[in-house]
Amino acid sequence: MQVLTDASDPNMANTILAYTTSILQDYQQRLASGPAGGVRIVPEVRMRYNPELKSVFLFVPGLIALILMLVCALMTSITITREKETGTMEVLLVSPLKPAQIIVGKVIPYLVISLAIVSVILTLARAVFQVPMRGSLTLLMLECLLFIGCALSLGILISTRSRTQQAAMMVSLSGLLLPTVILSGFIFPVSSMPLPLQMVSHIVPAKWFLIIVRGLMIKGVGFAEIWQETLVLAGMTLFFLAVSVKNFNDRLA
Amino acid sequence: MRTILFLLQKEFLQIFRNRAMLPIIFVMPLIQLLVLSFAATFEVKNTTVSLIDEDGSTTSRRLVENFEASGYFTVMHRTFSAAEADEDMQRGDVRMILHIPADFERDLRQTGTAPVQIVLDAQDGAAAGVVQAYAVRILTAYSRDVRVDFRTPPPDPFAQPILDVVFSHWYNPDLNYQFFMVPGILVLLVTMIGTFLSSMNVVREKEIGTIEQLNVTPIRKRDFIIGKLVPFWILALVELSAGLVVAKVVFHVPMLGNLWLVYGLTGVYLVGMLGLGLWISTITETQQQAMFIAWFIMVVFILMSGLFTPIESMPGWAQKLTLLNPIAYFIEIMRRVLLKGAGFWDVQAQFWALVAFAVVLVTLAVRQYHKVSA
Repeated sequence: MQVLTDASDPNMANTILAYTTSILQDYQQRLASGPAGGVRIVPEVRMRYNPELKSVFLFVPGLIALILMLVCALMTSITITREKETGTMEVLLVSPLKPAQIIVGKVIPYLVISLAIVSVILTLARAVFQVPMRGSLTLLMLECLLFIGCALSLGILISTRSRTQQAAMMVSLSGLLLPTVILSGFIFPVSSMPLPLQMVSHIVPAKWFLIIVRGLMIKGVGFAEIWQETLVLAGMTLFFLAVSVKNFNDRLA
Repeated sequence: MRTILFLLQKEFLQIFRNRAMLPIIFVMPLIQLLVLSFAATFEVKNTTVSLIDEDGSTTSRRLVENFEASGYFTVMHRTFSAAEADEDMQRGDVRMILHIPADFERDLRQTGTAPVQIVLDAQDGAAAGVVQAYAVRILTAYSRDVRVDFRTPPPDPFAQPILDVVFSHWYNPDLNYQFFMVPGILVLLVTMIGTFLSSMNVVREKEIGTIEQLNVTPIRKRDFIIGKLVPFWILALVELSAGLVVAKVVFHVPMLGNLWLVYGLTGVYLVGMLGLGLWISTITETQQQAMFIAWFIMVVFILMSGLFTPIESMPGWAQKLTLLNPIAYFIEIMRRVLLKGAGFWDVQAQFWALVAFAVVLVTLAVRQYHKVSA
């Protein structure tokens, strides 16, 4: 019996072939009259964490990371750069306000917005998609706060190095959002990528955050399993902040 | 006509003078093409396994060797404790537990069947399904080998009809995932240039204020729009060429169809997407807004277009929405023409859909655009 598949989509072809073969095997079983002459190893497959293989389980944590990156890093970088571009940053700098206060003032609204967004996403995920929350909610919110801090510091870093909004936007988009979407394990499994790309994915903060969020929400792990990833995120945040402060003092102050 | 040529000259001068944007326009899409094509795969390689082999017989050991020899599985841990294997999975060290029960070989010899327990980390449901398919294939193949070893008499073909399945994968016999992704990613590149950059470009003029200077000239609205859109139409086609070269040289994507057809269809598609970019620019005041709206529309269209996830797997309402998605049509065209060698006749339906989009979007944009700012 010949099965011809359109393999322009290889995964589809594989899956279709698997379905077709098992239907045919099923049919063969039913036709068979005598005892099964032959050897069969029967697989008993159990899908852990996600028995119904719902794809939202994979998506929602990634979406949180993506939106946080978008709001915190992208928007922060654009807003600070816009003040530089329109000249109003100078006005702020000559005031008795310290540069650090200006930056904090710029950044806090986005922090609040981000926390609100995360809450909305989590509520929707539970209510509409039944995504479980098997770990500690407090820990999740704390980790989100850490990631927000990381994204904010990245936004500040980009803004210290960009002179125009367009430049800030483009650097954020191509340097942050695209790697976050492609290389962080959001859609495509990192372990299937060629080695150089796997190395690059180590410096994408979202990758570590995804492991943490998925672990907390879907696997139900405790802090003991994710302390290493948390440490990496904290380290990245400090690094970005340090570089931003140095850049800021060199250029603006 | 001369007006348009002058406008084009001005646009190109502006584009090339903008040092920050040049790498974005030319280098970034190509890097994206390379990175995304290598990264974007739904194959699941290197599944890490925690092995519990309670049998330890030759048969069970050969089974494990078969798993490892397939190249898709790597045994990271061997243990006798199910709890330990569980812990491995909780920590994320392994994605699969393979549990071979104690009387595996004996049961196989005596009764002809024996169970094997497989626990998969199903956070990524689709990947878990793929891994399951691999595992079942290995088990089925191994069952046949074992039958030869045990010298079990082959089933009587009259009592037991045997259905032997022979398969052939057309268009992509090696199941090379990149052949599938690269044409789609080329679409992505062209779309980004077409919609994103064109909308941001017009809004930038609005923001800076130079658009007022153009508005007070006797330039006709039509000439202005053509002058703004044609450069990006040209740029996008140039990008497409660069992308096709990369696709051929780096990924060896087959190009079975007529390349002129590809260019022609891209040209039509671009008119529509440029219209969309222009429309976005008429409803926004700042570049930030333009970028966000364009991004939002693009992301929704792209995710729903069948680039990453097959349309056939989407829920009914999503499949209907695909009919309104120009990107979906264009991706279909690219895959059919490049991978399957389709001719114009084969992609006619998609072609007319793209023409319809172009007409609608450009009309919408042109009507909305006024020379006088409100």
